[in-house]
Order: sequence, then C-alpha cells, then structure tokens
Amino acid sequence: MLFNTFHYASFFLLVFLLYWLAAGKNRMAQNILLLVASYFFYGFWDVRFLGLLIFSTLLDYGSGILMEKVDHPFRRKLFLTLSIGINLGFLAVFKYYDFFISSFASLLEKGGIALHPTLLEWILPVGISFYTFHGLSYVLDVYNRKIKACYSLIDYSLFVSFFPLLVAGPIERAHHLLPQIQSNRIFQADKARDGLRQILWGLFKKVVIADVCATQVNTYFGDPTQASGAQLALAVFLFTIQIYGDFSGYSDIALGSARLLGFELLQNFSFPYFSRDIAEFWRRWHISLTTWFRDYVYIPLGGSRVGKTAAIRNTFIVFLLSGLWHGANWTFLVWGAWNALLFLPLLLLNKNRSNLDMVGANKRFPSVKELASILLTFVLVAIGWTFFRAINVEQAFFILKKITTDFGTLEEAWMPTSLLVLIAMLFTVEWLGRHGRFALEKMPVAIPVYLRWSFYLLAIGLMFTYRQNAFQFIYFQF
Amino acid sequence: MKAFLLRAILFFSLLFILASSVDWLFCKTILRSKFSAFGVWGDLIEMRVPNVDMAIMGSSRAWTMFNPKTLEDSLGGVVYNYGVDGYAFHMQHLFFRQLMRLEYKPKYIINELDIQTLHIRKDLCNPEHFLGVLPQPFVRDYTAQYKGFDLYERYLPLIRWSGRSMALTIIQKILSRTEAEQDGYDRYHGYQSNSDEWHTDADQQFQVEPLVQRWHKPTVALFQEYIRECAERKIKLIWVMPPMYKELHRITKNQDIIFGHYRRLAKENNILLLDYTNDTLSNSKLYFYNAGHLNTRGAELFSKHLASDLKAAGVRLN
Repeated sequence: MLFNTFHYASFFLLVFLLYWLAAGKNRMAQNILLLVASYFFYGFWDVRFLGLLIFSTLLDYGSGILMEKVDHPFRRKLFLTLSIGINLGFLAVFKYYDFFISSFASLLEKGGIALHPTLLEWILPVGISFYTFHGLSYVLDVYNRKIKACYSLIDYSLFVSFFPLLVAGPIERAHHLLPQIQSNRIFQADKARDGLRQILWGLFKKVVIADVCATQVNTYFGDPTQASGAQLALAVFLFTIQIYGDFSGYSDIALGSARLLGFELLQNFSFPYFSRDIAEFWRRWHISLTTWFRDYVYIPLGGSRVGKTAAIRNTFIVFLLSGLWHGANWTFLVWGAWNALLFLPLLLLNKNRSNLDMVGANKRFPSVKELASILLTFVLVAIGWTFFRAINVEQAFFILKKITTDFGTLEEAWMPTSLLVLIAMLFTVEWLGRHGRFALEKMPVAIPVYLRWSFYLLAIGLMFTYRQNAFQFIYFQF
Repeated sequence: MKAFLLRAILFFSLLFILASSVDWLFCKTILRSKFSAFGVWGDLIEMRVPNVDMAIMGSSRAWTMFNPKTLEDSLGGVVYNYGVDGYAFHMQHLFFRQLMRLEYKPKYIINELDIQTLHIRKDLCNPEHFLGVLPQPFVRDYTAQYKGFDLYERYLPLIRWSGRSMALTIIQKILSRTEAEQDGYDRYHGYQSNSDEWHTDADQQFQVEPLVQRWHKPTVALFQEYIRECAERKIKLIWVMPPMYKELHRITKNQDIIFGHYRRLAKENNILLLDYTNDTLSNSKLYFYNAGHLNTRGAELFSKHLASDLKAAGVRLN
C-alpha cells in the first residue's frame, strides 16, 4: 500500500475515524486499533513477512525485559548480544548474504580460484532495515539503562510496527516514541491541520516532483551510452531532485499521518539542499538515520575526540556503514566513502559545526557567499547521488567521465519548461517555509485563508495532472 | 474534532465540486470530437446521427469491413457502424443498451459474428475511448467487468483522465479550436477501412498450434437474452459471418461447433444468417491486411456484396 495511492487514503481515513470516534479516549483501544491497522498495512505488502516482523518484535520485547530484570553484567550482555545477533542475522541473510558471497567469489576468481556459490536470491522483506534499527535502538537503550523496558506487549509492538513509519522510517527511538504510545492522546485540531498540510506537501513532492523527474532519469540512467554528457548531467541533476522529492515526500506523509493520529515523529529532513557544507547537509538529510549512527556507532567508537587517526577511522566506518545500510552494492559503499571524503576536511579543520543555523536566518535572500556555498554543496552531493543511482560503480564513473570530457551542447540537456517551473515552485515554497519543520508549517500565519486554500487546490490539481503511474518510493527497497 | 471535520468536509466538498466541473467539461468536450471511437460515442450520446435505421454491431471486423454508405446507397435509410475494436459481444452489447435508451430504435441490427463473439477478454482495450462516457452508470457497469479502471477512477471525478495523453490532447485542441481533420477523423458513421496491404508478419498467425476457443457462459446467456429482447422490440436481427482468409479456418479447433451454434440459433429464432467465411474473397491475400480483416479494397467489395444480398433478401430501410 503506497502512500501515494487511493488505497492508502481510504485506509487512513478509516483508521482516523475509528481511532478518534470509535476508540475515543481509551488509550488501550487506540493502541490495539493502530497495531491491527499496522499489521494489516504491512501484510498488504506481503503477508509472508509479517511473521518475521512479529518474531523480531517478540525477540526485542523479551530481551528488554530480561535485561532489566537481570543484574548480572555477563547475562545482560548475553541477552543484548543474542538480540543484536539475531536481528542483524536476519538482516545479513535477507539483505547482504548474496552480495558478500558473490563479492568474495569474484575476489577469489581474480586470484585464479573459481567458485560457484549458491545464491539465495530472496525477496527483501519491505522495511526490514527500518524496523531492525527501531528494535536495536530499544535494546541498546535498555541495556545502557537510558530507558526502562516496556512491559506492555501491545505498546512495544506498536512502537516497532506503527504504520506511518514501518516501511521507510523515520527511524524512531524508544525514548521519543514509546512515551507517546504510553500516554493519553487528545485530538488537537491545529495539530491535525498541520498533519494534513504536511501530507499535502509530501504528496506534491512525490507525485509532482519526484515521479515526473523519474521518467527522464530512468531514460538516461537506463542506457547512459546513448546519452550525451549534457543529458547525463541533466539526469544527475534531476535524480538529485527526485531522491529529495521522493524520500522527504515520503517522510512528510509519514509525519503528517502520525500527527493526525496525535503522534510527533522525529523530523527526518530539514531543507538539506539549502546546506552550506556537507556537514550541515548530513544534519539535515535523513536525520533519523544520521543520528542513529552517531549515537550507536560513532560515539561508542569515540567520535572525534580520540585523536585524528581514530576520528578519520570512525568517520569512514559510519559513512561506509550508512552506505551499506542502504543496500548490498558497491555503489552504496562508494557513495558512503565519497561523503566521508567530503566530510573529513571539515572535521579535521574543526569546521564541521560552523553552519548550525538555517541559512539566511533573518534575511529574505542568501548572500552571494552563502549562495555559492549552497551551490557547491549541491554539486558535491549530486556527484555522490550518481553512485547511489547507478547500477554499478563502472556505470557511475562512465557517467561522470562523460559529463566532464564529452559534455556536448547545453541544448541537448532539454527538459520540459513545465518541469523547470515545478522545480522552481518546489524550491521557492521550501525557501519561504525553511524556518518551519516542513515547508507549509508557517503558511497559516503568513497568508490569508482564501489564498491558502487556493494554493492547496493548485497543489492537488497538479497532482491530478501528473498522477500517471505511481512509482514505488525509492527507500522502500532498503 | 467537530470543527476540524466540518472544515475538512467543506474543503473536500469544494475540491469535489471543482473536480466534477472540470470532469464534466472534459466529457462534454471529448464527446464533441469526431476522432476515432470518441466520435462514435459522441454520435451516440449526443445524438449527432439520429434515427439510425440499421445498426451494425461487432468487433474491429465490423468497424473496418462494413461500409454503411454502401448499405445506405442500396437500402436507403440511415446505417451506422458501432463496431468496437478489440471486443466481443459483451462490450458490443453496451452499444445496444445505449441505442435502446433512445426514442428512435433501429429497424435492423446486423451482428458481425466470428469465432470470438462469445468469448470475453480480461482487460479493457483502448480504455481512453471510455473516458467521456464512464460517468454513465451503465458504461461503468459494463467496463467494471474488465481490468482497466480501478474503483477510484470509476467513481471519483477527474482521476481517470490523469496520464491519458491522447484524450487530453484532443480536448486541448478542441478547446483551443486547433482541432484539425486528420487521419482518424474521416470515419463515416463509425466505419473506417484500412488501406494497408497484407502484412508479411500476418503470416505468423498461421504458425500457432490450433486451439480451442472457450465460450464465456454469461456472454452466451447475454446473447440469448439479446435475441429475446430484439424479438420483443420487433427489431430484426441479421447475422453476418464476414470473410476470413482461408488459412484462418484451421486455427480454431472448434470453429465448426461455434459456427454451427450460430446457424442453429439463427434457425431457431428465424434470423437471416449470411455466411461469407468461404467467400471467394477469402482465397486471396490481395483483399486482406491480416487473416481476419479485409483491407479497403476487400471491404468495399464485401460491402457491395452484402448490400446486394440484403436487398435480395427483401431488406428495406425506407
């Protein structure tokens, strides 16, 4: 059930009405309803993997309680290791087994040893990387005594499976979401309106921006040998827009849906393409994953306070793991390495925290210097996305080489004027709304109601116009 | 909560009204088109060709092979070809239903019959052709039996138009008054022949193993019901089995059973049946563009032949 379909709209409307009208103020009834809805939502994708989700939930639920009840350090560590081991084991088997085995075999082949390993070629259970990380954050926090174990199986199951975030995040933390699940929720009209606005903007980014860009991107990336350098540059540019529209659009719909049900999820995007350097970009892009790796990998390894060599090592570990988390392919590892290389100079020069505020905080427009930094960061990020989108590393290098050595003429990089206008509309609205948690958050105070409704109707009209084939969200494959 | 719901209902009602208005405009505009099947629907719904005396029903074999002008010249009256590309009797019956809603009913209906008439396809062929008429409940019912429009496209306004570039281009041209007569606009009362010569790849049709053509039981029942209704309404049926290239006869294992069924039904119901499946035209590729379809040359000869046979059988439209 994709977020950008009428199936989801109907499903959500039904859940929303039952949740507030039938379940009323009874927290337990609300949680049971949401859990059933979440399992239905997940089963709608592929009912076979529902068992895996429930097993993973039970494993972490049990481990949490055992770790809290047992004082002996060795036993606590044992439960933690078991939980992490089994969770990552599933992830390894479903997501990485084929990649590592085939990579190992091809390495041996280069050394003259022919190996023909049996590959599993299993379907990747949707959302496995996301709900595994939910569970891991919980058991790690319980083990480190940052939070208390959750004794209600329904509450814990809902924490793992809450449908808005189940298949593509944001990756929630137990200390943030569990207390919300465990407390009473009262309907708040302004929160609900905020939620609707965020869903609308998310849908706009997905349907009108990402899916429209996808058509041209797929053509050029599908066979780069037939495209000129200019066309490939356009494809890289459009993919940079597409992936933002796609993933931040998804996150907006998830956050908006949750807000309509009275939950505040972690912010996952904060206008990343207005970043002035790569460190700022990573504070604004896929925030829930970045902070997850920061808290559970980077800091436990010593972070940046362990000497330069260790800091370089830690940075590479985090970015390579982040790449690998996205998928079992060398392209993601190179993408991670590229970002690590961009990040390192800032870290070593101690400039990785120079841009903590939003650009143009009290101004209407950025300064020339800021604009130049934004554009440079955008280009560097776009180069990274080339690896992310390419089917293999060779293709990515081919594309980058062709852009730099055989560009052709600018006229070849043609795209419809309408698409250009839509992209301009995206950035204008995002720029105007950059001080909110999402672009339309501050809209009610900024403009009168008739203009606001006209804008909403325009956005919906554009969605009608560009709703062709609902493309799957890119991050569903992770 | 109440205030929020009221506000949401207000917004979505406004959206619904706007979408319905645009949908209505699109429907009205597309029905003005004379292009291809859009034109046929327009003629039928907007009654641009009133008082049809003889309706021709069938698949693409009817649409491309039965020239109404030739029949009109010979029999007088108004003849219209409602042949619908890609469909068997079930969808052909949709046109019959619409015709029965009109005050003036045809005196004769010619049914083009072939081996697939009582079969049914699973998906909608050319779904764009139905865009302008889908809000009509009976069209919605008929098309619901095929995979093509989902529930939301059938019942919510405007959604079904999304991504339908051919229909939207036609609408844009009509609204901007830039619609030009071109290929596809020159159908006469639904008829449009194909001037192509025999396609070399059409020979591949004979390479397949002979198969059994299955009947769709509800369509068989609908066909019986249709015969009964026409008899009740005093509409005379004429069944025509048009020429098919000789090699095509061996492709269907149960062809004789199917054709025998038509002959038996015709005899039982006193319906005139004209069988051209082994006509002299069937021996030459010169008259076909593929094994099942006559080209313009063949269609003109066939139509003259048919007109003459109908006249000889005492069919008069004036």
